[in-house]
Amino acid sequence: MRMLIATLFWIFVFCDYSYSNPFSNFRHTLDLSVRTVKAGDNDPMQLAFLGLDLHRVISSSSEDRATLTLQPYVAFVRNGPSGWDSPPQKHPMFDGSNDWSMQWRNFNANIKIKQDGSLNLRLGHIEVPFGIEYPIDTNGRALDYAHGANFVGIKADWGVSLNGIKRGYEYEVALLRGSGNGYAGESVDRETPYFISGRLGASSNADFGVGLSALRGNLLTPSREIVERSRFALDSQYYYRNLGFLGEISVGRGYGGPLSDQADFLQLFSEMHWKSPKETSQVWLQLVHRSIDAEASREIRTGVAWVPIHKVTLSGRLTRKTHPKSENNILVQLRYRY
Amino acid sequence: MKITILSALAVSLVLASGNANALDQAFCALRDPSTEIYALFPTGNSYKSIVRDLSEKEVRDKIAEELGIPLHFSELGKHTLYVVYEDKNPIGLVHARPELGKWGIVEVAWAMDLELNLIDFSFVRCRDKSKKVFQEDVKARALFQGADLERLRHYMAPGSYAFNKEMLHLEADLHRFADLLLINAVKTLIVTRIAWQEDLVKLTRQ
Repeated sequence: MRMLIATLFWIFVFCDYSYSNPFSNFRHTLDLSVRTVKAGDNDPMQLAFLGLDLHRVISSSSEDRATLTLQPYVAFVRNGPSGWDSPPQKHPMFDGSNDWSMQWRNFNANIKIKQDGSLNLRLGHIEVPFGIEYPIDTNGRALDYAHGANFVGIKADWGVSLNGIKRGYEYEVALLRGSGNGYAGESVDRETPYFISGRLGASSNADFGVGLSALRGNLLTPSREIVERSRFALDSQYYYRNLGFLGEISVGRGYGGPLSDQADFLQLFSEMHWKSPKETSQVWLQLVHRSIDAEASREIRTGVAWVPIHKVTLSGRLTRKTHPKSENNILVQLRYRY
Repeated sequence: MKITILSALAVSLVLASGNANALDQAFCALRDPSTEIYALFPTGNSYKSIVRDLSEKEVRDKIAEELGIPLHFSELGKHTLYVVYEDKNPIGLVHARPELGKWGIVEVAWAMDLELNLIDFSFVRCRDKSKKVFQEDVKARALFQGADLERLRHYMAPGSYAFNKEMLHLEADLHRFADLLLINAVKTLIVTRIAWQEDLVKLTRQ
């Protein structure tokens, strides 16, 4: 993994065929966000993310050859500051209650094989192409699509993919490591993880679009156990003026940890959102119904995002579990992109 | 390893600070423009991106002077001009420009020849149903096809950035959207000429 990271950075900085300036076609933004998550009566968990969002197109004299998207972030966590009564809880990404770690969001090179955009090869840390989450940018936002650790298992992973766009349709098929943020080798039982995922759907800018996705794999959990996962999903998007209606039906096997490896899974997801005409504020309502074998659960998520001044976004999300009744989860985030 | 990465990131952050970018979304949200480019230039078989920063004071001031109004902060930052090639010969340009519409941001991809005459346009993102008329009605599209900056200014009512309604033979409920396209087209031509001036000189010499 170190070699891959070093190679992508090296290409990013130096490689260019058509310009003398080594930083041509280069975009960069500093991204800082602080987030508090409170579940029920537990002490709040505080997270901070500090990173770079880098983008560069590498061209020859008459062709774009590759696009690099590199997003190295440092994530900090602080669970229950000293003086608070209850013991701190651990975030699965971190070893301790006051810890930091590297987070590789998108960290990949997308190389053009065909100039018409219909065939590209992506290498590096790739967003898993699956479901309604794939065409929508949720990177660092409070808006999310219920595809967390229990559902797909990973949001992005190391590997390769073939992808492209043609006549308003886009696709991506990825062969991934199955280890998520880190590039771990084997499980405690010396099994090797893997993950295959793909989606075909209408362009994300279309007023109406449908997508089909499938995935299968053996995932490595943070405790280095292997969990099986398989899913099929049908998703759709419809936009009317500044309203958006999104939905997804997914079925498959496996949910959460190894104990639910063989459980039959069904999830129905729907979202309605509204954006202000200037797109400086957005509110959303999401309904999730989930069945794991015979057990059903439902939750309602409401959220808001607001840009009070240029480059600053305030957002919040309330997750209310309606069946079986459980504690609410509140997330508040302040984000600054410079 | 962690310390090395953290140190490298800290150095990068110092180097990065001071360079503004107006995008609120992460760069992974930037889309592949192939569909729009080859729809606008069907004979094209490759394209090249050239990114320029509209926030640079000299560029920003020149645009404001020529346009008569400053660009909104969300229109500044780094933008891309796509040069389209047919068998390695440049045949045209594509630039996508956002505009504030009634139902959210409208993004229009404008195709131009190398002398900055508009050839055609397509909607990259638009939730306004009025776009259908400009996608399908030959007369409505013809308002912009072949127009240069002088002709676009000729369309404008004196002292405004809207169409002179006597010259606009469209239904009244389309006027607002036509005005949006007009100012968007004017901005595109001015911004392209100023921000990519050196590149255009090189291209026309080829």
